[in-house]
Amino acid sequence: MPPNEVSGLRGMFVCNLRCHLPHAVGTMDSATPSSDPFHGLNPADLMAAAALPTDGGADTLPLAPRDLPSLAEIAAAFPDLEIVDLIGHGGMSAVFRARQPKLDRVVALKVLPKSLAVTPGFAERFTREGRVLARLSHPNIVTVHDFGESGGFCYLIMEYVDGVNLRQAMRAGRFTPEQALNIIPVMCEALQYAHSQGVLHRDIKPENILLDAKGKVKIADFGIAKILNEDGDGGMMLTQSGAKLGTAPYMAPEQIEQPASVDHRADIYSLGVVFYEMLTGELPLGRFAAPSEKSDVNGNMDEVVFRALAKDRAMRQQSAGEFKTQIEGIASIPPMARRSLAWRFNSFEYKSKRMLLGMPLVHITSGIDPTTGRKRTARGFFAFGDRAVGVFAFGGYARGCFACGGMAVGVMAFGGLSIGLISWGGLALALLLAYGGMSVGFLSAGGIALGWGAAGGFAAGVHAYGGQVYALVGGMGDQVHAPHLFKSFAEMPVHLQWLLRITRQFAFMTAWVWFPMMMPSVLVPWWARRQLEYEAQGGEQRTTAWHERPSRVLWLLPASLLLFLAFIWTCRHWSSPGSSGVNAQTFIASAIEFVGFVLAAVSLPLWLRLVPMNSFYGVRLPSTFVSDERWYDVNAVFGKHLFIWSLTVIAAGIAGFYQLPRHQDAYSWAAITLTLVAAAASVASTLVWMHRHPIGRPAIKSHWLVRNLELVIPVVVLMMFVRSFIARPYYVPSGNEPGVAKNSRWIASHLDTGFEKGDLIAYAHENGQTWLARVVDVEAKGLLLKRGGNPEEFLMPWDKIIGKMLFSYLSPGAADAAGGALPAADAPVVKGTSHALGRQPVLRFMRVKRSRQEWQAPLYSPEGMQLNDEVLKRLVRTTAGGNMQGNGADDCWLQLWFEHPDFDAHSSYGVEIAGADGLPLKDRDASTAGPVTTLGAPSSQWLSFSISPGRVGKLPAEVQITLRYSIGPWQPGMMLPADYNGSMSFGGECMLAGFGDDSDHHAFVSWSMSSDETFYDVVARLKDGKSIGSLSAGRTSYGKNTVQRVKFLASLREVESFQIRSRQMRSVTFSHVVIPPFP
Amino acid sequence: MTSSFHDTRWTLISRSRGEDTQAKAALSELCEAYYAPVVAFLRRDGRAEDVARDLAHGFFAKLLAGGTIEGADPLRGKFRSYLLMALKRFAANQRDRDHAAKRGGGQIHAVIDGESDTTGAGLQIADASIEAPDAAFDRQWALTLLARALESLESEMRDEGKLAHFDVLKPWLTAEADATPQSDAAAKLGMSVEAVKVAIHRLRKRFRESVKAEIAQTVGQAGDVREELEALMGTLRGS
Repeated sequence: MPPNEVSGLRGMFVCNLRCHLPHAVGTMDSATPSSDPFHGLNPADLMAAAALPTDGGADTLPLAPRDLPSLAEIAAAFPDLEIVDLIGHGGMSAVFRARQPKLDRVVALKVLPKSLAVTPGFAERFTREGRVLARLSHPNIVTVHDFGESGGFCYLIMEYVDGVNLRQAMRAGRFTPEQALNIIPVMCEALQYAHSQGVLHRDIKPENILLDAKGKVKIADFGIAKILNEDGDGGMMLTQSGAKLGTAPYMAPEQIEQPASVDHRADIYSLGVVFYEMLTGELPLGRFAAPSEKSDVNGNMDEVVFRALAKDRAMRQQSAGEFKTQIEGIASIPPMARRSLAWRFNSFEYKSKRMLLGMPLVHITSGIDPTTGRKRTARGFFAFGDRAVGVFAFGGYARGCFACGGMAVGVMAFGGLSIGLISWGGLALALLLAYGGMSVGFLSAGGIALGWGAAGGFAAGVHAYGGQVYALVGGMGDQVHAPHLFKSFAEMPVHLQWLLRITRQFAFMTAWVWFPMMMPSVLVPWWARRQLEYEAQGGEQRTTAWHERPSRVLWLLPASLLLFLAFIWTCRHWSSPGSSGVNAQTFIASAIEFVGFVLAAVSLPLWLRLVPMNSFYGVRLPSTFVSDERWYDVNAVFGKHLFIWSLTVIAAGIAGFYQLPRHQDAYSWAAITLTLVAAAASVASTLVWMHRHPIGRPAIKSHWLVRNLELVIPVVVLMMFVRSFIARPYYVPSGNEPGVAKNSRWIASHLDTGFEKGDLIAYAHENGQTWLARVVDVEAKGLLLKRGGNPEEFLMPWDKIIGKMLFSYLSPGAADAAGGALPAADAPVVKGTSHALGRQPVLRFMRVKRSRQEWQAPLYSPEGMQLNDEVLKRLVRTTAGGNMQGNGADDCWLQLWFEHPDFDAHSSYGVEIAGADGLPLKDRDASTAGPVTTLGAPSSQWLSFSISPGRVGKLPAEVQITLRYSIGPWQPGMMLPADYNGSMSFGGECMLAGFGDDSDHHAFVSWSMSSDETFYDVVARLKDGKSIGSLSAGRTSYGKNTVQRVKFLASLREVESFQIRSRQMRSVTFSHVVIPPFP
Repeated sequence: MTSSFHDTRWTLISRSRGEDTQAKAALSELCEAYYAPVVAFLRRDGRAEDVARDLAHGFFAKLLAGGTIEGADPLRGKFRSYLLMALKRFAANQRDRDHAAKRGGGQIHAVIDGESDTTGAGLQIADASIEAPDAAFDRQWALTLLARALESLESEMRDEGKLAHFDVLKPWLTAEADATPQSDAAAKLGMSVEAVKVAIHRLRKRFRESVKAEIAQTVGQAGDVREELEALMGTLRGS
């Protein structure tokens, strides 16, 4: 070797050494800390893992047996295939991954050794079996596409499964029972299918069970054993590494001992072994432990596995299908009702973490504490248990503020034996009030009552009342032994009266109160047990739906309370019926309500998924039993719909107690119809849900319009029921009823909840229409009513009373009367005037002008201040103003504006002026102009007048202004038919002067008044039904009398009648009004 | 990757008996890789750290210089055994020279503390008992080999973009009954649990192949891989 070459190499080596060594640190100077090359794993284990054979995996490197062909050989032997690689081999065959270019698919090519191919008789067997195998078509069996001989090799072309076999999967990680139970039943189905085709597997083992990445199971090598075996040979096939003695552990005993008589039950045995191994990780050899001991599979599964592993094949499941059913039957006991863990919690304790007032919020115990050997005691704010101590204690022995139980001691005690301040129970001892079978206390009531005040069957005390009475002071009853005998209720001392009153009223209810008391005592410990179990299984960490949590059972508490209250309400109607007594109506309403209770009680447990899956109680369609999840889902949907409908039925039943006589007949039929519709609607909704959520396929999402289409008819029926028997809207087009605005809408109740004076009632008029009236009085036979326009009161019998108006909505506002428009005769709307009526008009501003001048700005306030408000200026500009011209050129005019929110077309009467001292002014024009038509927004009504305060140069500084006006609702008065002849006086101070048509063919009415305390107006009712208001046509005073005349924009021919109406005349005086200066 | 397609480095070397450049390159690569066991041997033999390293350098240089170290067997069998034998001879020669140089001076007693980082932190299995240099060599050989196999697997997977797979699934290379549930791994990788099982199996398979490939580079015949693997396993078990 030339030296330089060597040194070159050496140099290269040294350089490499120094720079590139990955692990052995190159430099000698400093220690470079290297990261852990083993990634935290133990090298010895790694090496051992590396040394393991993969049993069907590719031990590609030099572990080839003699017969294993090379890729090149295979490729040569199969010219139609593209051989990709070797994917595995057993003792007798090699499996390659190949591609069929013609079909463009990947297949598995299983090649049998050449040595076999030349064995006599093999080829026929192969062909025969191959045909049988090719017929097997099942999603969970590896399909055989083709088989034959090519290039000296016997081969099978099979479906390629991209995944692992069960052995590899088990090595990758231990199977949970759920995963095992996902695989085994599927295999049972596949086996059942194969057996039904007459094909046995004979070699079921984890290596022959393939799982793809999606978790689909496929059984491979069906019947291969039969092909490969000699006639009698048991087929001890050794795997390459020799690590395991073939498949012997998986073979049924008869396969080893009498191979010729093997039937399909051998496969069941093998499957049982595989199942056991999946669950426990071990083979069932010798005396093996039960699966439930080594894994947390359901204990009942043990039997199934043992049976499959029975030595005597007659003892095994006789078919793969039976095996599957048994497995699924056990597995279907859902987590919600799993027994294997639950009954281990016979003795348990649940303590909540939250604390309240220094004690746990909830503490629930049961059984014996193993550490102390004594019964557990529950101590907490809410305590439940055999012994319970707490603020609210429920239990066998309960002590606390509120104690309920077998023996209850507390401030309020309920129970078999109850001791406390107030106690209720079988034997009740109380300091204050005792109520019970035998009660002893200050006040006691009961079967046997002893106390200061005692009431009961046998009553003894200072004051007593009852059947057998022994009293120290006074008593009343059937057999009284007392110094003083009370004759009447009122004579008894107050406390005894009180005691009797409450016990009578509440007797029935208190007799039933044990039911809501009992529910928590039963449900809460049940819940605690389930909750502990749930937490033990790690349920708290996973996100679980509400219907898997144990706390769902606690919904029964409010539900039962609700039903209990409805029940009590019903019982009240029986015990204290209304005016009509217990009649058929009561029966029917109770029956409907009872049906509602039954439906609710039946459906709620289904909704809450508290009912274990069974074939009797629940939806019984065959498709619901496909899987337990399906059963629970369908029944939950059914339960939900039925429960909600049952609540409507209960409500309908309660409504039945309150029906007016008019509706009672119709009610029965309607309620029955509603009940049937409710049941049908639940069924329909369930069926629709089942259709929309098919098994195994994704749910059908329908359009929101379609989503609840099946509810349309039931809801319509329900709405009709509500409308007819409970409440409905009414539209009031017209009317004269005070408090009812025209075109208003009201909600009326059709229930008989009592009537009072002043209620607005809808009744059926004899002409068939529905009319409104107000109640004057309630009588036995009906209601005394009075209509708005009519002073007469009339009795309406009960069967004509439809309902009571409750409130109005969407009422129209006060009509705004624009200037010059036809004033409408609307009934005044109550709103807006109630507070305004108390207010007085305000004199806002004024101005002054000379005669023949125009009205000019500025405006002045009554105090004399100039106002520059733009709004007012605009306001004033829009008024006509009027050109006041008096007789004299010196006349001055004062224009006044008054404001009040309730001014309307008929408000103004007149305005007067007087001197500051109240005396009339002299030297002035006596005319008055006004009012200018009301202007401004409807809520801010203005009246404007012009009046003369005097003459130029002789104007007073201050004046007094008096406004006469009327506001507010009208009092209806007399009605005059249009053909009335004669005179009439109304109100005592008014005399009708006459009416007729004037020259313009306008109808007019005139009357004279002798006082001005009341303001009168007339409304004309036309023959076509409309009503029109009046226009003022003049007022003339003759001394004390004033003649008022109004006219209408219709001729007398069109008028049907005139309605007089009146309202109080008011006046307001403004003193110290400062006359503003001239502009 | 069947053995018939590629020559291992060792077969390359042995065939040409170290004569041609390809063989030389192969030899130098092998030497680079298995530097650590040589150092371990030399240290166990009673030398201090830096002395051992120096000697190792000298040993390799001599090896690469061509031919064989005097007295070592011709190139046959396994590289490991060849290297060991060559090393022993070299060390013996060296000791003679040392003794000669020091004229009977005492040897430096290297304290065996097992914590040297020059041979790679983590490559050392803390070993309380003093063991023979041969055993140290073999064991270090096994560790080096394993580390290389892991590293090549990791870089392969990094090249394929599956480094996440490797990182998450590597605990399962050894564990059978797993402490961490596979669902965690499945969640981390965004795969189903079944797919995780498949992936674990495949990772193991590749790891095995990697190890065997590593071994194969140092043996001549295909059948020797198994034997070598088992021998190395034995050294790691410490029996």
